[in-house]
Amino acid sequence: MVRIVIHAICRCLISLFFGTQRAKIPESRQCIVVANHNTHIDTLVLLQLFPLRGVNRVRVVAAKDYFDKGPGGIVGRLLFNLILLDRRSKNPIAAMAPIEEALRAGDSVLLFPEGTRGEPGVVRPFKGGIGKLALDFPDIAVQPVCLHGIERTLPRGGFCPVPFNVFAEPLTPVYGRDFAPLGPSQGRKALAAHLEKAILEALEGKPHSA
Amino acid sequence: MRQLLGKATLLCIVGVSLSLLHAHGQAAMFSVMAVLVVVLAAFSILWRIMLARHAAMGPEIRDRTITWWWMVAVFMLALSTHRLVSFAFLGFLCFASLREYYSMLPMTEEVESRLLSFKDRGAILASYLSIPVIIYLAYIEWYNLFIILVPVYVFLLVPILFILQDRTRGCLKSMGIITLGFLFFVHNFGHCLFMINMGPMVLLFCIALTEARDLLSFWVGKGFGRLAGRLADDSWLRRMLECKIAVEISPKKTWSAGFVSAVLVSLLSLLFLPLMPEFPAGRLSTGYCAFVGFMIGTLGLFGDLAFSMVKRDIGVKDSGNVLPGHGGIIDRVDSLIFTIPVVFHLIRWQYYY
Repeated sequence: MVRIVIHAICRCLISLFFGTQRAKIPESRQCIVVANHNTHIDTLVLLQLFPLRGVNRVRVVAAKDYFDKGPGGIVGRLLFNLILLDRRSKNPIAAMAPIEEALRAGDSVLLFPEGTRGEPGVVRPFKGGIGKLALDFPDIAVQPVCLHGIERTLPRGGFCPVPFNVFAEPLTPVYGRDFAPLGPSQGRKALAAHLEKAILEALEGKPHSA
Repeated sequence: MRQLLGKATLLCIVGVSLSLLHAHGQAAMFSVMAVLVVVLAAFSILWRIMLARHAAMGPEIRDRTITWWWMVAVFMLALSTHRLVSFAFLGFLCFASLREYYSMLPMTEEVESRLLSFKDRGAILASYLSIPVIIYLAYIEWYNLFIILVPVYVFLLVPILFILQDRTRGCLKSMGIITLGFLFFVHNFGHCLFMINMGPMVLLFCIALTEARDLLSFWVGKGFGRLAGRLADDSWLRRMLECKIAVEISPKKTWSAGFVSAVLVSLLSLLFLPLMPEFPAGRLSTGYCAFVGFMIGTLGLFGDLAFSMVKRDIGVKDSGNVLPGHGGIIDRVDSLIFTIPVVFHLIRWQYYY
């Protein structure tokens, strides 16, 4: 309940400061949202795509080394329903178990396949984990979202957000079942590459302000 | 369902602002708003007829009219409720257009192609922060500081910030672009804040005439184009009608259409004469009012072209997509940036001690 109130306030503030426009994702049922990652604001903007009362049912995948302890952990847990992922784990399949559990429970999952915020405005190669998730749950939509202009607001190393127009563009959803015939290993890579290409094309295609 | 809700909200806003204006006894504002509502209603009927006849312009006029309804409603509500609301609203408009300007420009770390660099964020934040200061200064009516704050102090702040960042490459370009942004959208456009102190009617006078000029020049230009098409190829009248202002920037704008619409605006401005408030040095004289109207007509044209020029350089068609049918906020306020400061100073020099 507290989280919903916080999110309602956040939504107003974000719309005022960043001029975000209401775009709804076509698939409002359970889905895996995938986006390019540049700032801490990304997650808040992406959650605007979901109806307000559903905010608690969207699990946000976050790095364990960053959001487990300290100020990041406190703010992160206050705002989001986090799933902490151990980026340095020796056994990546075991590390992803909590995400699969959340999907089995019927929650939506929001993750950034780049794995890090990286250089502003540069999309890093997508990790294969998203492919594995999609193939394990072939009927859950993977919804790529392209975030335009967000890298300017709070790039890594900046400490004060600066207002710029931000636009979240939902792209065509992808299903794991379409990639299953390629086999587990190939299908995983093909799906990740497909998502990466879709987001890169969307970033190229539109001007930052649109 | 959503559409119905939207229409109900719109009617509510229009009704509330009309009744507020009536209750505060602002007869001049009330009558202007009533006229605007009637004109918009006429356009709403027009686009329905055009859609029914499958006219080519139908959908565009529909989008534009609906957006106009909202802009007029929100603007009148902001001007009719309370002085504080008007300042906050216009300040936000400055902020939103400035943000749109900075968002339009490509920002990268490559020196050759970039217009802005990620290091410029500090200076950009400083120019945003000058907006609340300007709002406050206009609100307490401290004219002297209001008029020099942005062009002197914020202007000097930008190079100081750059020095503190210890940077050399591309700083000239960044400095120029950032300074241009806040001079246009905070200083020039910000004059509308101080204009509220002269009376909201002056602001309405300026904005209504500037927007009327945009519409008039479109139709006059279309009419003249059709007229020129009927004349013989080498007639002097045709050559005069087709004399372009700047082919590269906007291939359709001609001197003749610009001049005629400026004269029409100057005639239109006389309608506002009885509505204008009394200034410290007396009422606006007829001749001076026509002159101010003519200046709006001329400068609005150049404001329009100036931002076409900027958009062409960056390679975008519209500055955004916030206003359906119009494009971005800058596409709508571009001519106001040129007309508002000039109208403000013309009236202030002549009618204030």
